[in-house]
Amino acid sequence: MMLQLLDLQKTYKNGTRALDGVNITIGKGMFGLLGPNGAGKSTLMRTIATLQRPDFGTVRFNGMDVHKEQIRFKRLLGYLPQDFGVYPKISAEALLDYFSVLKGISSKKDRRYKVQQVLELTNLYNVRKKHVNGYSGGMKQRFGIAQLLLNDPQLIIVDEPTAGLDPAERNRFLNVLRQVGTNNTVIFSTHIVEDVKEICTDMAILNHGELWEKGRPLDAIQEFKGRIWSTIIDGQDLPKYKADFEVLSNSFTGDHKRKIRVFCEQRPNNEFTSEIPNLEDVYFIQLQYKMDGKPKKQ
Amino acid sequence: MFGKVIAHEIRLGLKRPIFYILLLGFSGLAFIAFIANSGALDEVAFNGRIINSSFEVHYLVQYFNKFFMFLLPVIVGGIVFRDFRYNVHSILFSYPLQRNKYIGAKLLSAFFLTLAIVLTVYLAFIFAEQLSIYPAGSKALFSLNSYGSAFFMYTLPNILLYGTFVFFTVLLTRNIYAGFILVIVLFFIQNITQNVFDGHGFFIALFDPLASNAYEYLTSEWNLKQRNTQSIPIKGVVLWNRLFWSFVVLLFSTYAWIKFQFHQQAPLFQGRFLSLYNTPQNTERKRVVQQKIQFNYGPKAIWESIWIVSQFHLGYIIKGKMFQVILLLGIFAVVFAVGRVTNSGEITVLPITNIVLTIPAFFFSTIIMLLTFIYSGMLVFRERSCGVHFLIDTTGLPLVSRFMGKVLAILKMQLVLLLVMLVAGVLIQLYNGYFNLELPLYVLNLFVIQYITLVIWAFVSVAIHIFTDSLYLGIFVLLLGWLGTSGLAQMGITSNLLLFNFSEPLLYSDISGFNGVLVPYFLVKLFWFLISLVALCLCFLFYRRGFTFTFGERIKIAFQRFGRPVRILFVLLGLGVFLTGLTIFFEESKREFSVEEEERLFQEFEANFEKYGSIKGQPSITHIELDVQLFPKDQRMIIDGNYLIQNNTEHPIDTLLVKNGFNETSTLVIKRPHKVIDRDEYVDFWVYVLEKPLQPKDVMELEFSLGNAPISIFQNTSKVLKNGTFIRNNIFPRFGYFLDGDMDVPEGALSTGNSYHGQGADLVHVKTTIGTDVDQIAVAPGQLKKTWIDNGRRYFTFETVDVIRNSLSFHSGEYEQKRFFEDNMWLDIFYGKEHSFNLEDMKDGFYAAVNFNTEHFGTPIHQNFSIVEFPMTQGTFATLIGNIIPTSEMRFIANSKISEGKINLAFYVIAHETTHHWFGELLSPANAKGATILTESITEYLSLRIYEQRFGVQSALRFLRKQHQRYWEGSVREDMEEPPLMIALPEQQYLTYGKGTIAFNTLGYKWGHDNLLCALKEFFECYKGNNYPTSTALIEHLEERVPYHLRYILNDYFKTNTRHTIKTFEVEQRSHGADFEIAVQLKVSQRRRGSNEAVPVPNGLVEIGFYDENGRLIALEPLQNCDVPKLGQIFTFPQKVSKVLLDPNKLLLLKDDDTMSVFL
Repeated sequence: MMLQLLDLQKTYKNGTRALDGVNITIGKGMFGLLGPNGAGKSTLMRTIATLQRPDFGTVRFNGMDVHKEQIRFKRLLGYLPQDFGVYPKISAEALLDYFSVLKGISSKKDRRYKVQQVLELTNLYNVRKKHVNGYSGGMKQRFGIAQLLLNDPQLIIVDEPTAGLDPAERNRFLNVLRQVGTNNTVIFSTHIVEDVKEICTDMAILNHGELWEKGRPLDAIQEFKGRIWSTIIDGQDLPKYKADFEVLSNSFTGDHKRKIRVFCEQRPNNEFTSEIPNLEDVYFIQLQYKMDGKPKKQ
Repeated sequence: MFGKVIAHEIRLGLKRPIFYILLLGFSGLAFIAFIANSGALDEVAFNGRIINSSFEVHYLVQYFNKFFMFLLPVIVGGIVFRDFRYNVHSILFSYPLQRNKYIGAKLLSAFFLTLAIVLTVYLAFIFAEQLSIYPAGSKALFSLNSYGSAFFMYTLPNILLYGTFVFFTVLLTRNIYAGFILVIVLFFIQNITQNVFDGHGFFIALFDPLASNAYEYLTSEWNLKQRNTQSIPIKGVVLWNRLFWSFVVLLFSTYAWIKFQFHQQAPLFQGRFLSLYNTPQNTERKRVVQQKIQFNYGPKAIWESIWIVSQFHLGYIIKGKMFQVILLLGIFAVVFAVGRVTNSGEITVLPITNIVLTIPAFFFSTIIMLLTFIYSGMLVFRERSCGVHFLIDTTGLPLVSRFMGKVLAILKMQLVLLLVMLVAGVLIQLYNGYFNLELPLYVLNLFVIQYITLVIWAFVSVAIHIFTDSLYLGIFVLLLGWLGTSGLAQMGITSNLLLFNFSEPLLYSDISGFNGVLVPYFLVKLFWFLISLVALCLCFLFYRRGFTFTFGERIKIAFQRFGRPVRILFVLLGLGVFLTGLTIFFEESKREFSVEEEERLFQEFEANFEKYGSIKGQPSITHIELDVQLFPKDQRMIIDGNYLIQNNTEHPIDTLLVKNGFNETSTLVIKRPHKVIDRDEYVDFWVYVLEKPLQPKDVMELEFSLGNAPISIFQNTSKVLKNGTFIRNNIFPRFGYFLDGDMDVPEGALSTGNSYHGQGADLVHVKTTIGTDVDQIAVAPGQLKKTWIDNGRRYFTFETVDVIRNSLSFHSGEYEQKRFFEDNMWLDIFYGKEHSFNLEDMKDGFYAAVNFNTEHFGTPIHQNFSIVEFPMTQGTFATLIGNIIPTSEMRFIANSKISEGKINLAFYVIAHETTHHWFGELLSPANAKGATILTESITEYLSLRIYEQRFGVQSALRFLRKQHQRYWEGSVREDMEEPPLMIALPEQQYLTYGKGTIAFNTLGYKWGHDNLLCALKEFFECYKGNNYPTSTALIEHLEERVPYHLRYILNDYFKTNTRHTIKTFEVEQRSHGADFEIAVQLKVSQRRRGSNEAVPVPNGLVEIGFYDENGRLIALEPLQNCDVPKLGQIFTFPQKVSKVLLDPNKLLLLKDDDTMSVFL
């Protein structure tokens, strides 16, 4: 089970270069695609899902060119877009039944079974008779997962699914995704680093249409061991520190001071103490490296 | 903020291309419509109609007002829906907006944009008016007032009222389609009120949402002069109408205003959304048993998915409240429309299936078509509009299953609506106790004939929505296409290859069926079906899936979809289109001449042959022998004939003018040396010169044969029908120049010397052998002498006992026959199967007329008569030809139940036609103005007497009221100045039938009907045979006999055009001891039309009837000095009076309305 993206390029009419030669191979398991807003994640997801054509490049899944063999590919695909609507005044059960027809389950009995199965899996069984357009955000996202599971997909694409969910719903959602992602290729696009950290076995970072880092999250974190430092400063000094150091992030402390985390090959000075790197550090390092070409201070 | 929102909305509106498309489209249409309405495109000469009169401007505006209604959902609905469509409302409604300012600003900007388009339409009218392409004299000076009153009284209120209605509907439902549906609902209301209040013009005008019926009501009595000169009044019902609908809209708007809140959810249907969290959770859970799921993507699975997808979308349509409202109104519309012709009024027909299908067909199929336009757009854009396309577009079944599923859903929706029409029709039939339901006819008519047209529209509708990629633009293009097609037809374009999906309504008769019109219909439909299929396949290539940003991308995708199977499909469809198109082209080219060519050829004939109009002396036909061979299955005939002609003039005849049947191929053999000196091939008119002239009283023999022109798919002029053939002898050779210009004035008793029935309408002896298919019965003039079957055909020989007028008819059909013998007279009724409803009434009418007329005018010359039914496709009339009364199917299906307050039309029609044997057949008038007073007016009067004798005075009065109605309705439709009855033209039937009956009845009432009948008898005796009297002769005859004090009736009713008007009619009742005093204040005026000269109302002419609470007449009082202002008279009765009725015996020339009766 292997997804290959070969030199994908896409430029919109307004000049935005959404994909700038993306090359990557993704195998079985949960793959996290991190990137800030506007990085081109959704464009990449839609391109893989054949909802959009690249200007150049190829997407191959198990050897098939997905844009040339769209119908065959879609039979293996489960896709949950960043934002989606539903037909009004239709229950989850009825809508899933309709979707399962479009996903090739022609037997009524099979449909009934499958719909019940995905409803249970996504914990929506109790509200199956309710109109989907009346669901809360989290329920709606779980419905999104339910619909993508109807055809037992080999490739699952979920585009920023946890945005806007409360912590409890987010956990519920990630649990469901973890359950379904064990035997398939799942591409999980998000700008929330924690999501990737929690469930992904592999990850990459996308910014300005370019794919920069690919690897396992733990390996990525490991790479920066001993290079992340922190200190507490006055808020007003932040610009000065930003100018002098590679500040990755800052956060308020209880006494209205700021704790900053910087990336540096060596301890910058005595103010700083060593920190255990996390995925967020990796994410920010990648973004800033590429934006400026190199870190400000090694 | 208020002003900024308005400016913002207007700016947005002006940026949208649809605004300019609508603006250009509407103004272009208006420009063309003005020119087309003027007749300039038809190159007709000035016909007396002023094209820019207030009446004509309003007429055009009323037409456009209907289309402006579709602007409202697009512009007004669009503005309010925009916030919800793009989900802006969730942010916007959190701002500190004031409800009145938000609604007010949106509404005002919507009106601004709508009125901008509407005003360009008015400008287009004005611009078109300024052109100098119109016939001289057809244009009056430009008057802004005409346009102003149309705009301010009709268009502007409509836009404001229904714009507001649409605005709040969309605001409350947050659904733009609700706006479109509302417009259709308003059309339904208009249609239903027309049917419900049939005969009550005021209420139709009052409740018409668009007020176009108010305009018609106000101008319904206008003659041409008034139409040309008067302004449309701004008074009465139109104001009430505007007030009524303003009130309705105000009520709804107030409700909507209160209901509307700046909330996330729509105010309407909110309960359903909220129910999610309020209803108990269903915790029941079944154990999921592991099973293997079968995924199918093969052809069978695709077909199944198409079906399921279509069911899914159909469910969405039919579960929608809007659709259900339309459905309910549809049922009402059908019920009321059919009820109007089957149940309401005094002259109705039985609810046979053909009638039930025909009456509401146009309205209902138009509504289905409009719903197709709207719902196909809704389905095309359904996924995108609710954002589910992201999910749907990644499913594994091919796009075609979703696409075809939607198309199928539209087709099913159409079927549901047609089914509703079927059910409504059947229920109407059952309600009326009519059980011959004819389901096969329902199925054929609705689900084959009508459905194919709707299917084509469905395909094209889906295609247009996909191509235009905009619901509004799509609907506009479709409406334009629909109107444009019928516009092209009106402009004289006749080729079926150019008129998209267009067909004239198919005429059906229970007797002759569709009579061969189905083949050309289906050929044309096949052509357009294939074209629409091509359009559908083409649009499928462009059907959006996923994200496309440029048209180039869509083209690229289309090319990718244009694979081998699609290419093969296109080749096959293209081949089909080519072959059917070619067939239509060749079949159409078999038409000998186009309409324009026919007009030109006829004009050429008139110019070249007018000189023969001066040749009056032509021989008379005295003996006709015919061999008529009919082949109904092939719609073919061969007729061989032999004429014996005689010179009955006092001069030798050397020139014979012969006109043959127009659509037939004829040959004539003159058995005397002659030569052809002139001939017109198109009209088939020949001028022969005899080498040896035909001397007075000399006799000559002529032979002729004729057959029908070859039949092709689009050209079938054969008079022979598959069943119910009705041929008249006007297709046989006849003598004389037939375009004789205007009729003469009836100056003398026998002014022209020619019969009204035409040259050669002499008394003849006829012998006919007629052959037809073995399963049909043939009927010809005279008595049946012999009938036999030979070689699989059935033959009949008929021969007249006495001479009859040379007006003959020949019939053949699979008739049932019913025979009667009473009073030494045979009557045969030949009728179609299942049409036996009125046979007894027809028989009664016949014998009643025979007895009545025999008593007053002598015995008839025939011992047998036949009533023969002919298909309603040939006409709805009845007539007397020799001893045959050809009677339309419409008369056989008349609802003649006197007990239900109906006029017994079957009885009356046959009594009338039978009476024509005396006045029409035995007495033939001269060919001069007023001729039909001697036939139709007298016959109508005599029929009234016969009717009264049979059914009583009250029934006869009902009949007389209908004649009044006929007169007044005809009078207002008269394009010329209404002439006096005495010189009425035959086509002015409102005079000869309507006023003629009133005139004779008033004369008979005042003078005594016996005296009048006696005078008519003397006249009949004097002129019967070949004397051809005029109306002058009749009036002079009556003047000599009518007492002096009643001669005013001849003057007022026959010789001048006089009318009565009620000026005052007030009644008051007072009790006076045991008695009741009735004080009547009355003023009636009598005026000559034209000169408008007031003349005194004759004493005793005006009567008043006093009635008790049970409607029984207490007293009938003739009044004196009725033209004295406010004549006051007191009448005393020993009992209470409940109703006072002016002119209860319908003697006056007074319009029958509510002001004639006063209830106490």
